[in-house]
Amino acid sequence: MAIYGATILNLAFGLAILTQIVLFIHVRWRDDRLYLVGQRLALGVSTLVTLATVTLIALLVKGAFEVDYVAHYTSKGTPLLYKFAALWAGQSGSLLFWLLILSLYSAVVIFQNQRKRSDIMPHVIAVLIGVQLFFLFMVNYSTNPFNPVNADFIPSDGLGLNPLLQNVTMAIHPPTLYMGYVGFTVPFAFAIAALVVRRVDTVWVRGIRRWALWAWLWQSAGIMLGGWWAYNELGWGGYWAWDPVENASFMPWLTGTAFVHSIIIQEKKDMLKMWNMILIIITFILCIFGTYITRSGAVSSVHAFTADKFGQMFLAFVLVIIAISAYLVISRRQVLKSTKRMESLVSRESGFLFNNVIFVSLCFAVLWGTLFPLISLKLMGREISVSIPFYNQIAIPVGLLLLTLAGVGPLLAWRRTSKESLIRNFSIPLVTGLTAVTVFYVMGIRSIYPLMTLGLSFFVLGTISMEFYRGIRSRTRRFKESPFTALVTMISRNRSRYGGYIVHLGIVFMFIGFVGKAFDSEVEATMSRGEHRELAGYKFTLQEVVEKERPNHNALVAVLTVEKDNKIVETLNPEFRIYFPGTKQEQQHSELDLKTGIMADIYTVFSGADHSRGFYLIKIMINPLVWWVWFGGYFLVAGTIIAILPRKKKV
Amino acid sequence: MFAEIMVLLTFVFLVIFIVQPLFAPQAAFQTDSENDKIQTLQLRKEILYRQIKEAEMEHDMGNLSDEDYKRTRQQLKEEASQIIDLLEKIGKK
Repeated sequence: MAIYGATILNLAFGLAILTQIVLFIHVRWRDDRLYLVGQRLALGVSTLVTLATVTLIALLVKGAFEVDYVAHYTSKGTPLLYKFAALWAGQSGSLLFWLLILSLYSAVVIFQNQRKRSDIMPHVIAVLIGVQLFFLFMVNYSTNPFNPVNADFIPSDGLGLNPLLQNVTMAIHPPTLYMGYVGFTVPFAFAIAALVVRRVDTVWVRGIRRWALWAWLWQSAGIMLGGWWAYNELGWGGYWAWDPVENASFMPWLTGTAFVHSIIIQEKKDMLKMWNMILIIITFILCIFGTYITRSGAVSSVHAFTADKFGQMFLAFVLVIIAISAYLVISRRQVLKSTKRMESLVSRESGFLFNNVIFVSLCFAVLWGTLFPLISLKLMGREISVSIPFYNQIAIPVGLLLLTLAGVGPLLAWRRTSKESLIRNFSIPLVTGLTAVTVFYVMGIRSIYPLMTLGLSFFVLGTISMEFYRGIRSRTRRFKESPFTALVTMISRNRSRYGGYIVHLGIVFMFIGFVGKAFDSEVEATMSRGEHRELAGYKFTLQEVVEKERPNHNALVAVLTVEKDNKIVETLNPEFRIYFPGTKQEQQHSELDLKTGIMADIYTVFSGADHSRGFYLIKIMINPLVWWVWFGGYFLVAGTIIAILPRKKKV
Repeated sequence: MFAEIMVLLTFVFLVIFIVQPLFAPQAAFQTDSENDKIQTLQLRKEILYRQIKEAEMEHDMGNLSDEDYKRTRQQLKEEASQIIDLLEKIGKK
């Protein structure tokens, strides 16, 4: 079976080259039959990549330890779900998975545009296949997932999956993120194709709006799931650490967010053509760069599960993309010039533009921080890492600026906003924000950033609520609808607008969650049975520690009661696990336990144990408002889905 | 042996699927630069109409003052009529 997988991967590589040749000849000869052949060749590549992936999954599930990848990432004891997840646990598997998603997206693009063939489509397919060619080259000749084990014998069992990855969220997080990373290839392909044929008008933007939102949705969900996994699995009590790999996913998200905003201006006003091209090119490059950072081990990270030296090829690929894109943008600069100008600084267009500049600036600050260890190594001969305070110093004020714009933007009119409109629209949100600041100040919050964040959050909440209220009121007056019908009709007829507001609502909830970080408290202590510790008004007592034997690990389970006002409110069971005990692969792992609440999470970690002497290292944290971060995530996803849903066609 | 047969079958199926259009008569796609131009203009017209409706909605909601609404509507209508003129010119050719 491994031979079958390896052969069809080779065949896919050949077909991809053939697709490029056929499409090139088609563009020269204008024979539409060749375009159809090119389409089918591209679909053939998708089919073969899918077959290769299915073959690898079959090998992983079957436990074919004669294949090196299978022996490295599964074992007989690996649960079935994680045997599937092993597909993206290692380097070659994850590259094949990247390729699978891209080839499936390409197939969807081909089917979507099968009937309508404009000059742009052959080039779109060529770009999509071009990117696939790179990944096909990698999985065929650099890191082939079907390679046999490098030994004279077949191992009787595999090494198994890293315990940190044996978590349901971790099984979902990478594919979710990949759906986003890879998704940006489609708008990029349309952008490059539009540049090649010099058709950079509204049509290409219209065609990719949903794709861009689709990619953004998955990228956002992937980042959220990553944060959720870190919070629920890593045991340091946080969800974001500005780790290089986290940054690698955050950077394309930032430029992608700028892009999904600025294409609205191109669509509505036929402006920012050059800016949009540059934004989507940068976003795609950052996606490839993100994959490079994650998979090359060029920058040390907690995510560095693999660290092979294949980064140079990725870097070369990135340089090729930059060179081609730069050539196309420069040579097409005349057609990319906007014919229209901003009429006023106090307009929605300028609000969008300002938001774009901030997103991109933040992205470059994060890029600088991420690459600084590499830059310092090259220039000064020693690696200097940039730590969390550097990022926070930039991200917090910039984040607050963005939050302000999320509230201001919807209040501005397109083209120009009169003084009268400004006063009418800003009064209620401003009063809401200022009232919130006063209330929280009286409640005892004195730190400037938390106070500002809460004030601005309520300002944006005021804006969004007012938009919904006014929309409903307008419909109930005009069409005599009930408020509920008015709400539903209003959203379904203006999906991108109200979907966007729901996303903004999610962002506001997340910011409220971020505020909680300023009020975290923790204690780490060695405890023995019956001992207690107090934190933030709670009393934690270690009642007992139970030993448990499970299929692939042994565990010490702490029974920790949590009391408030002399009443037990919760019993938490953090675990100290030893995976593969008594073998060379023996690995310690702390499985935390927490109680989630709207106001605060009670978070406990069993960090270490001297079981024979009865001493246990327990970390206890009170993390306020974290729940709001995840709650906001649901709104973000729901709002984006609403914005993506197609508008009903008028009959 | 099984793997070889599977590879062969996959290959044969794909070759038949891929080369089939070559034996069909020249495919007729509606594609020329004129059509592309019409498509772009119609899309712009559609977007402008939508913007006029949006402005009307914003005005109804109370987000746009009378002054802002009148100016925006006028500008959008002028742009739309320019596009309709262009579309008519192309149609007459």
